[in-house]
Amino acid sequence: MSQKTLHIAVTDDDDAVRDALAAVLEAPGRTIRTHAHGLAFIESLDEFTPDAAFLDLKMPVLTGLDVLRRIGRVPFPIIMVSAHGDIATAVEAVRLGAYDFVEKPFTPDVIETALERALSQDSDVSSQEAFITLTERETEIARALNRGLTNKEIAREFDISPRTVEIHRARVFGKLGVRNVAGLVRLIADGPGRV
Amino acid sequence: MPFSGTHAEGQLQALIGTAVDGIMSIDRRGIVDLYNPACERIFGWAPGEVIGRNVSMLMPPRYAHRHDGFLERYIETGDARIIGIGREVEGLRKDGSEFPMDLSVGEFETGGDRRFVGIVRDLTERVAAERRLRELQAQLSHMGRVSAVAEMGTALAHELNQPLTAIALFLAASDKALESDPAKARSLFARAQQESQRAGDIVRRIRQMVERGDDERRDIDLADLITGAAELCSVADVDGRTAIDISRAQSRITIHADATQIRQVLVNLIRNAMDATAGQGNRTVRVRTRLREDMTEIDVEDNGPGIDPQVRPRLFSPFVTSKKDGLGIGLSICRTIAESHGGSLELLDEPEPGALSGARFRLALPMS
Repeated sequence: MSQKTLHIAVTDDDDAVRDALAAVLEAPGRTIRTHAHGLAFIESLDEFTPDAAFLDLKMPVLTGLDVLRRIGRVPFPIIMVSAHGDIATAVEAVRLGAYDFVEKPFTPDVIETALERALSQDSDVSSQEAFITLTERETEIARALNRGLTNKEIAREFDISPRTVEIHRARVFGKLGVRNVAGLVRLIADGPGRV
Repeated sequence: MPFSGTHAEGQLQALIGTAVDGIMSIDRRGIVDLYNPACERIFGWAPGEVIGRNVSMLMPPRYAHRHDGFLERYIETGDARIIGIGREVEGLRKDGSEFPMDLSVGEFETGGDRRFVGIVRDLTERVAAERRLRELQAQLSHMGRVSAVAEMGTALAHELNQPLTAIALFLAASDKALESDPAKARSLFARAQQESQRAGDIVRRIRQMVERGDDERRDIDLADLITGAAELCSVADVDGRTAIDISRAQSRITIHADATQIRQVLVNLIRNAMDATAGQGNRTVRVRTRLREDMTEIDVEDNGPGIDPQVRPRLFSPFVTSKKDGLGIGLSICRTIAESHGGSLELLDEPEPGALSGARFRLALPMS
């Protein structure tokens, strides 16, 4: 039984986080390449295309967003590694072409799940038409999520409880067939949705 | 009575009797033969209880038993510790309480015998007022430190998340490798250990900022303090793009200061400098030290746009700030701290060759 080797690129300026991420991703049938800064990752793409990449958002010189702007559309999924609570930047990254994001601190499970989804790209059983099925409030919530607001910020903006936001959010995700905020942002960015 | 008869003697008697300061006289063995009414108010002993006895009864025991020795040595060698000098010492009241007092001692000879006069001023009130002032100052500067850390909160939380993330991942990876490759598992454990150290270091630095200072001045190494402050600030650097250059901070400069407070001044100055360069492509902050006579000058400069001329005159006033969330007490507290250490804090105006283009602050502190 022969299986294709999976190549994963990890870019993070923090030595420990980079090495740790590489260590948990390590498994038979996988090779992990690590890069200490954005430029090294960009240059590596000239000679090698990975199957998936993890990219830190907060890096000196070239930030994760800078890297995404430079490389444009690439044929492999990129998972952003973001600081806790910085959803706005993470959402911006998805709009720039990243597939998904994980918030620090994360567990190995979160990493594996994100990787699997990114590789299978199966999260989008969604369609632009589904937007029509959203209620007015749900549409507002979807817009707010797309702007990178956290649940708490949305609750404040609409003067409702965070719990209510969660319920609306779950309905929005369900109707649109997306798994998370990244999926929602991708869906809106990809089509001329009415949101 | 040692004085009687002449006009001059009467005058002297009246002076001694009405003086606010305590006046006393002893012979070469320390026996008291003059003890004025002010002494009675200060020490609580009546003249009859003191005259004819050794003056050491007015001193805390730790000095009292050495006093006769001091007197003897002075008479033999002329080596003065207090005579003709005056100093702040502690006295002992009749009720057993100790108090700070200012003591000056003079000597005279009569009939071939050497005698000493002492003038005593009770410093209890002044020392208490000074302590109240210091306490208020310490509270204010603590407030400044807490608000500085609060402003850095998000960035510090992020920086703590880095080692915590790494620890969780290293441990998971070592767990996975434990069976198949124990040596690798061990090295991953070691990495996790290093990261917990790093997290601990960050927490320690934060604690150093928010703890209440013990308001104790001691000899401290300035370079250590500068390095620590620069590390804390770079930890809190939101996008990690500022280069903090401390290579021109000389080592081996010792200052006598409250480490917590001087660290606070440095953190404030460095953070201000970092904020001033926000949004620039090239962000540089530099800390340099220089010795000038008996002062150490610490310059903190940046390559930002400099201080707005409109803000300049009120720069060190409290509640003046150009920051959205700032309280505006940072610089005014910093100046108070510098001055309470016998130093100063200024914004430098004159351009200097080799200096960066933005604002330049100079903290001057007396050398140890």
